[in-house]
Amino acid sequence: MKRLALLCLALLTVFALAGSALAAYVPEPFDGYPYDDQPDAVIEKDVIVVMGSSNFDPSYPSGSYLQAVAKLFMEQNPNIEVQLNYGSWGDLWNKVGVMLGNRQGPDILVGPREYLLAPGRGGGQWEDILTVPDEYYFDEFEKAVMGPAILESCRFPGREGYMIWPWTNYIDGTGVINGDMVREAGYDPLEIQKNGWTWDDFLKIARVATKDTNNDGKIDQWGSYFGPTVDSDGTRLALTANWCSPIALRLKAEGQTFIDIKTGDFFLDKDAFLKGFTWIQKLVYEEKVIPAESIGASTDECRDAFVQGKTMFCAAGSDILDEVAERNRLIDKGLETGKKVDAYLVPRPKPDKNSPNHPIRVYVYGYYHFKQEPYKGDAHTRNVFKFAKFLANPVFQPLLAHSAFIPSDMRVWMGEDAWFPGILGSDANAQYMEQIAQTWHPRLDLYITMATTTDVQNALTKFRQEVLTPTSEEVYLNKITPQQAVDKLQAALDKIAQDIPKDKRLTSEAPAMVKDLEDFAKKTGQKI
Amino acid sequence: MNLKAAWKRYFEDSKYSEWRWAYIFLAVDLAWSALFLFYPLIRAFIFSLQEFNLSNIGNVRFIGLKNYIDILTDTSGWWHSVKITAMYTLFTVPVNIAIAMGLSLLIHPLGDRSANFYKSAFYLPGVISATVMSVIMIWVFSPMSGLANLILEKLGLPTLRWYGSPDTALLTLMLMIWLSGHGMGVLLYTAALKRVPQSLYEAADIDAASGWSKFWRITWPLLKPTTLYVLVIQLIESFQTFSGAFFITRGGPIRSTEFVNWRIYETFYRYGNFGLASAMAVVLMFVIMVISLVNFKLLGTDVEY
Amino acid sequence: MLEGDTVTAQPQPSYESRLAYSFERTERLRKIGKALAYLILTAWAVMSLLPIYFTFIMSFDNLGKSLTMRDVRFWPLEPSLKNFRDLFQLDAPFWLEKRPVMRWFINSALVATIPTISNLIFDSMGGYALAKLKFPGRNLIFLSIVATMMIPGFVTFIPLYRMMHEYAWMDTYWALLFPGFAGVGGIFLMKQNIQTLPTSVLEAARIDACSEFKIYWRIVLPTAKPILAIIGITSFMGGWNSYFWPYLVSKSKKMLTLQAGLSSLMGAGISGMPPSLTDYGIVMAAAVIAAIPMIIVFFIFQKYVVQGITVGAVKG
Repeated sequence: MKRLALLCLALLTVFALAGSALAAYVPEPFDGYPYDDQPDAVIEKDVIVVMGSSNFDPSYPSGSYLQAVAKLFMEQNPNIEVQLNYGSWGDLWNKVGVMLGNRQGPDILVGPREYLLAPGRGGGQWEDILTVPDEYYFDEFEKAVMGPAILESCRFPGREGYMIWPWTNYIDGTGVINGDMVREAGYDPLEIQKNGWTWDDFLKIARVATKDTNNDGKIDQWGSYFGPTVDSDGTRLALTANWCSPIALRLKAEGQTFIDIKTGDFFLDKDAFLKGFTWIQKLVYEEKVIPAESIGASTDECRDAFVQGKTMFCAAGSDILDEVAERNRLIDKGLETGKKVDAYLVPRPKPDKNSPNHPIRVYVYGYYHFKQEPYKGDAHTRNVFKFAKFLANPVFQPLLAHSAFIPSDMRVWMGEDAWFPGILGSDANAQYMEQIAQTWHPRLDLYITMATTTDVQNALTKFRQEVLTPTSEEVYLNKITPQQAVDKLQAALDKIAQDIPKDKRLTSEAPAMVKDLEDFAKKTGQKI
Repeated sequence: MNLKAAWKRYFEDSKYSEWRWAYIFLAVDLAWSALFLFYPLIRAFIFSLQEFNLSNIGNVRFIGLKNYIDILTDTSGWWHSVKITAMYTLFTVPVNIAIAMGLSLLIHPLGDRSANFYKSAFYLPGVISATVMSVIMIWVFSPMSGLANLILEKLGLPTLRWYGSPDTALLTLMLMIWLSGHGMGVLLYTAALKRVPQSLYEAADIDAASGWSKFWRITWPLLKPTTLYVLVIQLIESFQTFSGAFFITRGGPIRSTEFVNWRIYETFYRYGNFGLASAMAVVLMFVIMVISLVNFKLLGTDVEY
Repeated sequence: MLEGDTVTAQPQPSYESRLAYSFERTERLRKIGKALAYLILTAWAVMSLLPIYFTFIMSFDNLGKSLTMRDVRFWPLEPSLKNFRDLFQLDAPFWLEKRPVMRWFINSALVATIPTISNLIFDSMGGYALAKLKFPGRNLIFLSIVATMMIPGFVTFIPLYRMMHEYAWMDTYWALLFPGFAGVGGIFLMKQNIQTLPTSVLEAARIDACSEFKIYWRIVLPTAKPILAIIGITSFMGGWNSYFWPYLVSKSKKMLTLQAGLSSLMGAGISGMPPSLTDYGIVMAAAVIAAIPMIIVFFIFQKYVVQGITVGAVKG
């Protein structure tokens, strides 16, 4: 044993020595991006690597589209080879992380800003994102037609032009309802879609919907499923932002940032949390319109339950409409049994009649280009931008969209008529999505991330991971009362506030972020 | 001196020839592990001494042992996950070894054909990739409409919440391991059992030894090297257990399945904090190493017969 | 084991009747024990095989795009080959760039077989040296090799990625093949098993003036056949199942493996972000295609497990 312990010690020493020797070597910081707009030698053969997620796969319409465009581009530019590389959503971000850790980001990455620059990622990957040279950024006309929300998604807070091109949108912050069940309770789904609904309306409809349809003594139709407790439907249902009306509180609650970037104070919107928690417990344990077993069920299970007509409501984005359509088609063809679902995309329920609708978020997918070390040369960069512009060429996009190339949740941005009612179809859902274009806002927690120091970000990450999520789960599972939960959260936040002195909370960019937020609110006509 | 003589001198007659042969045998392994194991390992060790995350990749700094201090003083985070992992290990590794050994002892006396059938049956689940396996497992243990609950219902037993409840989530992940994942162990044990000389059992029969004492006196000692290997491998696997948390529970509910490796993964990929994650990995490495050393000590006597 | 404690607790009478009784009881117990053994084994085997069974039937079930698996079904509701047609895109328009499934298949085969062969050679050599030869630094080498198993693989991905980039191995077979060239687990397993080989046999060979290599080749390898077969199975399956590494070092989709391709068919996965439409039918079809070679290889090696043992038993 002694010998083994000694050996172990020797091994440790070897590691430590080798480690410290090498750790002393720190490479020179990489400064600047040498795009100088000077003509370079033409590259004989250039390879552009485009990375994306599963929607690059040809089984997705967007994937077929991308491949067709890449093929066309390569025919026109025989010296450029475009390679499409894709993996599942999780794998993609893992790979991007490893690549950025080596300062070797892909030439082009397709993804939403909200994910690329998520608070958890340190919000700092922007360092490696190229500031788009003027000639490749939008011209004045394009800026004019894009509308504040899209333009907002295409810029980095405080500076313009980090995204090469916005491409598709994903609507989040909505829900879908089963038209038949809503009508059964005496409500008009079109009315809900148009004017919104309150949580009391939700409960009334859910009570009617929750029943035993085949008389076997077990309830098999529910108001809603709860779903995963982290990041997804569950939190969407219990989203505290549902209970906040002023936009400032909404922004804070939605990003779950718990810090005011104007003053640097930590805060907890106690009232909103209390109401949200109480309501969830009421729905699950008192009214029993949400099965307690569905807490923690997978997103797929919740979506499937809705698609099969087992639930009245699902807190999903617009993409679920395609699943419903597919299921209905199978029923028409006789390949599936069951009742067709008449789905309506609606806003989430609101606290009371007078409060504004829950904000609908839009994730804008775009093309990002990364600085690389060593620099591959201006000619390469130009080729990358050439391809990106070609890809986003507005001329053939409406055609492709019209031939159902791109699913309804991933419509191509098309300038003024971003949603092209004619292309989406003329049904109520299409018109509603068109209407969303006027009221959406992008996710703004990025501002808050940029305005806070690493200490705050780390502390809040730990807070979310170790206090917020487990405490919420305890409430959902009826282990503690809402009041206890709120007290717990408050105590944890107080401790963070104690640990981090006030002058070490905000970065020098904070005032600019506040100004940006206020400007954005003014532009979109929202109150702060 | 001709080549043959030199060969003879250096590799056959010298008292160092055994050393030389050993290094020849090990040359490729050593070169390979230097390149693909030790180098990355040392780099990971360096990362653990740096402030290295996605927020400051342009400005990586040497911060000494700060990452380690952060980890070791983090009672609510790191030590919580160590506790969960230790519990998981304690309940899976011995049970798994007992099951694998029990199954192999059951298989051993069978004829070749049926033995092969069972061995294959236990090994084959390994051919399905972890991704697909977890899709199936999520579906089997679904609290709403899963196969497991269907069976419980048919048997007239109360249904369970499986991975949806903090009380049963860890148990569900353990159950998944208990039910499948014995392929390797069974193959190894059946192979090892066949190497036990039959003469020893015959001798024991003459002594009229009971089955139990035969097992403890003959089978167990001769299975020790295999057991040691299986134990260490299972310890490593179970301390690094990950796929259950990754695909099914995401560490929840109420942090009941927050394994160490899941924490490292989150830190590394989700929060992009490479330095801290590397430090965690190094700590984990030494934890596993110490436990393995103890096992080597307990079971590691060289068996000669 | 199965017979239980048959000899000790008996009433005395004569030796003959005791013997007869004992035999009778042993026979009966043996029968019951055997039945019980079969029952346990069969139940366990069914439980183990159930996921494979579900994968197979789902791959032949027309689940419909974007719909996940639904109610428990033990037989495809609507048996069809649609999922396989979709996987190979047989019905896709002519201009569409097809998924290079065959190329992925070939890549997987290469990634699985070449490291398997090198593993068999180098793991057994290393294992023999560590088990039976005495040389300075033996324990240190063994310990440090085993230590590398104890660190979670993904924290070494950053330096490894850098290495592949610097060697310009990205998107080549080198990057796919080299990291699996030898295996720590294999060396460890080999060492543990060669240790049980009687040293007297080796000593006898040494006295007969066999060189170390001859001992390794003529004595160690043949006796280690079952373990070699197990290493073969493991490293083949490890190579075949690896997916994140091939994805990480790929630039074009031509250099992916089948499992990496399969994984890319999975949709959102984690947090409900788009795209969340996973076509489980195609995924299951791909899983079945990926599983078949592994099943075949398993049965090939499985034969050697048995064969090798007869050789070993004679020697032992």
